[in-house]
Amino acid sequence: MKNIIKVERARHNLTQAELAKKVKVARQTIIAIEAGKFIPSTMLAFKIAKILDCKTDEIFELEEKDWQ
Amino acid sequence: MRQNSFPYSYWTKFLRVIIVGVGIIRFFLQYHKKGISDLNELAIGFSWGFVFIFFSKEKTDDEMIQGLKFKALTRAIIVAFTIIHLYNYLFLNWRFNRENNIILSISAYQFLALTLIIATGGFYFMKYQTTLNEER
Repeated sequence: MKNIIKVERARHNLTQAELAKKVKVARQTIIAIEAGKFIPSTMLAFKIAKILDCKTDEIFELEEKDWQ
Repeated sequence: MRQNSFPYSYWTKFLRVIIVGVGIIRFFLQYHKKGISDLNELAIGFSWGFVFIFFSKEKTDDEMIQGLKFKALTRAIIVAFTIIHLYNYLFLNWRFNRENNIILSISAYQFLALTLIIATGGFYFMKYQTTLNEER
């Protein structure tokens, strides 16, 4: 699953640490999500989208390999 | 709704240092007084100590940390069990005779200590790997 958190975060002038603090997770978790190493739960995905003023499906997008 | 699978608070990690330390001191005391290398004594300290470090909450505990801990524990059980099974087979029961001998095995303390040491190491390694593309 790919995401545009990094882009939206830059648009909102937020650091990884600040976003992590707002959604109450560790900074490593935001790093892992941005790198596509960790897929967040629905609740965390909604929280991230809300902080970044976007819809969840604008931030996260399924890839071809996710269907296999 | 916030759930946490780990029962012990963050501060219990400090208990680990004390318990592991006591285990190491007792091991060396036994060795010094009686000349016995009692690995079981060491394993008791390590197993209790690592129970507190592995099953305690992290400073910031979230779903990824819990997922990593679960992944580390499942892998560690398989690795530790394989190591112990091979050790028992190759070193303790190599010439096992079903009619005369009893099956020898290393203690549960040693198994638990090995499993939790591997799990803790694996957890911190996986956590480190996730921060490789950290922003400067």
